[in-house]
Amino acid sequence: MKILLSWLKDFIDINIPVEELCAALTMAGLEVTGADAAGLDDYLLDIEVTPNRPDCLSILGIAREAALILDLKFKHPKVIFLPKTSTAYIKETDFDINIEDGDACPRYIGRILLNVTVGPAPEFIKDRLAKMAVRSVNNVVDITNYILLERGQPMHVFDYDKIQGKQIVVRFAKKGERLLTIDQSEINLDEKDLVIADAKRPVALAGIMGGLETEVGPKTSNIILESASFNPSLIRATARRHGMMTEASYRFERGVDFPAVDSASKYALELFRQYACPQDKGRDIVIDKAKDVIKKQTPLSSKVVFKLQDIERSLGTLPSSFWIRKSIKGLGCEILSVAKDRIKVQAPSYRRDLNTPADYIEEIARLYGYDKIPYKELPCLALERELSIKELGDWDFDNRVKECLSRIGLREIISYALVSEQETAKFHFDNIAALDNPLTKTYAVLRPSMLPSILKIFQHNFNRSNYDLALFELGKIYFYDNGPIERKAVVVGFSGSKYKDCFGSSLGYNFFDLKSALSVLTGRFGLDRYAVTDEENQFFSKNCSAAVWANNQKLAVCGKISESVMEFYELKKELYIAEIYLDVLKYFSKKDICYQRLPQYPAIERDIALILPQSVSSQDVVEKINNRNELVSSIEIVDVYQGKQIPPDKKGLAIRITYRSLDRTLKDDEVDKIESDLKNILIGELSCQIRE
Amino acid sequence: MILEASNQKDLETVKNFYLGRKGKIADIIKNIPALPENQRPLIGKEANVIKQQIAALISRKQVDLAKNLTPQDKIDVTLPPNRSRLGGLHPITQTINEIVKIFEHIGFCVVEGPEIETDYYNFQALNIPEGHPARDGLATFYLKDNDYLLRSQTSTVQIRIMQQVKPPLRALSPGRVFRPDNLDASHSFMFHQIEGLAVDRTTNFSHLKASLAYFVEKFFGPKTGMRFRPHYFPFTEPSAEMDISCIICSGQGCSVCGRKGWLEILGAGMVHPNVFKEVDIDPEVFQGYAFGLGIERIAMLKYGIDDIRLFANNDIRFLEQFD
Ligand SMILES: [Zn+2]
Repeated sequence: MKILLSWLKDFIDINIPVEELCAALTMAGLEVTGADAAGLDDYLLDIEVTPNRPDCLSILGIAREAALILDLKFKHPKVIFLPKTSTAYIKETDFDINIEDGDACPRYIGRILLNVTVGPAPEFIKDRLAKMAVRSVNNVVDITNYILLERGQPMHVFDYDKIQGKQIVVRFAKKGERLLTIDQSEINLDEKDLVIADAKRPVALAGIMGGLETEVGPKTSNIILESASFNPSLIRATARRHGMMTEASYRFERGVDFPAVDSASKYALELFRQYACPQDKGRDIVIDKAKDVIKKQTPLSSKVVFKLQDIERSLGTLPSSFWIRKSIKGLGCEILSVAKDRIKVQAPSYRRDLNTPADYIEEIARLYGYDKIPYKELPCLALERELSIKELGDWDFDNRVKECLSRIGLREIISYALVSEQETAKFHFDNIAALDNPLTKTYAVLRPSMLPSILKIFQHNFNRSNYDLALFELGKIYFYDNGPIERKAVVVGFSGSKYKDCFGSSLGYNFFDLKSALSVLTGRFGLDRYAVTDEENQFFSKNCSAAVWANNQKLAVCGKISESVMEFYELKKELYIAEIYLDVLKYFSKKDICYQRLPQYPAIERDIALILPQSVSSQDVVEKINNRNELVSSIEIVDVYQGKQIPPDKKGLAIRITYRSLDRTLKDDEVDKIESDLKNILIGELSCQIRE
Repeated sequence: MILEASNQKDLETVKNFYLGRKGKIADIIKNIPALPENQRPLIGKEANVIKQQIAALISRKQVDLAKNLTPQDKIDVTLPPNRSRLGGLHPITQTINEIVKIFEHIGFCVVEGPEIETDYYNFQALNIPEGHPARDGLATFYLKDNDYLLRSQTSTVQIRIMQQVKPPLRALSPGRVFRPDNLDASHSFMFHQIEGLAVDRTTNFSHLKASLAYFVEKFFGPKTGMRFRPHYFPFTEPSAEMDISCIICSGQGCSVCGRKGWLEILGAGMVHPNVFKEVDIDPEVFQGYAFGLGIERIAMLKYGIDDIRLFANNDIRFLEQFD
């Protein structure tokens, strides 16, 4: 909201520098976000008026507030007494105002003025409008704009002779009606739009903009001046429906002061008399009719009783009761009664936001100054409360996941949770949660997978020659299936090499780095058993794509990004990605850390070299011999080989079995016995051959 | 013997001699059962230690041989280090963690809420009815074909907490929020906020001031100036915005603070009685404060970052600067 300082001075005598004025307004809740020089010794202040203070959307309102804050005298605008209506009663100018719905339009004043001379506005009006960046049109329009800025009451002027049927009807638009507005746009009216109409057609979109056909022009000599009050949310809905935000709609949406509907109309009349009069002295503006139709009194705010203790309870401090009473009066409120520590008050018509004790406490705090309220430390809180609140959400768990992955050298990213419809279509996702009002097609759907997000981050980095990457993101994936679904997931991705030295050796990331990240996580959360199976996936190459299962629930998918996906995202380097579902991980995680005694006796390691059919996986081998004997403490895969010693339909696998007892040192012959049992199992059940 | 090996084959022989299935170490271990019982664990341990030492020597020698270096060759110590990369957390996560840590000291704990929300949680329960002009500043993404929306503020979690837990309570809720703002240097359609809520019988505005002052001191440093300005939020009353003295120009006035010397960093206030009524908490008995701040904004201020898009681009060279 722009305010011209010199205009403000019509109502208060400001005797402090502009910087001090700005600071004082800011610290009382009218934040001045800018003060630009506007001509000689004048400033245009930019004031942020919060939505609860429509009374401050005018020069007068800001002046009233500034007077209170700076303890200055507020010069009320003079009350206008109308001269006697002309005796020349002209029957032809009779007209009616019909308001169909008092909730939509509580008050409408129509004032007919005859013999108006349309011409340029006087210099002081043009000058002030120009400084406030309002385009000058003609004296008639400029006067209404001038009053809008000064008093906050929007008004509209119709060419009386273009109004058909001598009537103003305030009604809802009918189906199929259209209106050509003064900014030359043709709008298709909705049945929920409130319009001002004459006998035949809509002539204005109520509270927002007038129509072109009844606009005042150079040839106009008779006018109808509209000053009204409309239902704020109705105006708001219509303004949004048609994308027409105007100075008028801005104020009507927030609510105008009921008495000002009349005083502004009278003020306009006075200015018309002065500045839109015929040159010919013999004629005067003839007021034929001024009709004030009040359908519904806008009620004053409620009478409020509050206790002084309420102020102290909320603010932690209590100004003197004398100061409180003075401030309340300064707000224009009436103190209805004071009994002991209770005050009963009534706010003025322009402060309809003051309806509860909390509203008054805020006013008192604001005028007292937030800076004067003391600082007090919070007392200690009972611990059991904290624990019960902690159950809401996965904060601790998520943090441990992030910490775990960053400890093994992965870098966290945070990407946009919105992806394009093109992506969700390409990867055939169902039950997607798409936006109704996306900004762009690129960000139109909540991601159903973490992969599109991280792939774009790889692309961004590749395009900047950052190729060696180990990234992860903990985020959500979203679906809609009879209701919204949000799942936490972590995505891990590797590209390039993890190690490089200046002697030319380097070690590239591969699929097993994904499994390493996965096993670090499962290990961290005590999920000791999971199975990996071949499973195709729309993102991964057919020969390197897997699913990971914990108790038949899918814990993760992982694999090498396929060439078609690389092409789609313009990825220049190969990369490996895993998506891990944290709800599953969390469900199977063990909460407690359980200490186990370190082994006291040495272990015996034995290697077995196997030749297996290609169809047997290493996981099959390990599972087959795992848990067969309690002395087997671990089974490790130490080598996988193929070559001339191995038949082409077979593969070589070396496993290292560690045998350990917790209560004694093992003897070789007992290990020999177990080893041979295990070998027999492998030979018998998996068709393995043992290489000696 | 290890050091004398001049090629990989020699080294392999040496390795077998010590570490093979029938090598020296295996020999020792095999004979352990024959030793007096009290010596067995000791010898076993010793044998293992020696075994590891030899293995380490051998593998180091293997690397040397591979590079054709002998211990007599002097290495160029000025060659660059082998590259190894640290993992790390995103600056947004770091900022959230830092804020959480500060408030945990004064009894707050962290809760979370959904990002797909209803009009009720995002607006109505927060005292922002349909048609309220405060909705202007909170433009919102809606989902297609249903009544859900993406939360435009983390204040939604205030309602969710108080529906489930009755006061006294102190909670923080960090998370993503969405607003239909086009991407530019200072706007994004997705960013992070953190919401704070403290409710009991006596928590008042002066507690709010002290808690936030503690946060500013810990987060921005003890010399940071601060002020509270009256403001308006539908879900708090009295409401305030908090400014800190500009950390770029120390309050002298610069382009970052718009020559005002102050930077707005958060909104706060006493929880509005209507919000309490909505969650069946009696505002005559309980009261408290709430605050909310934008993570990207304060991370940008703290680190002097001039473009919000950097956070979501995730250029590794950007991310590595926050270790
Ligand atoms: Zn500055």
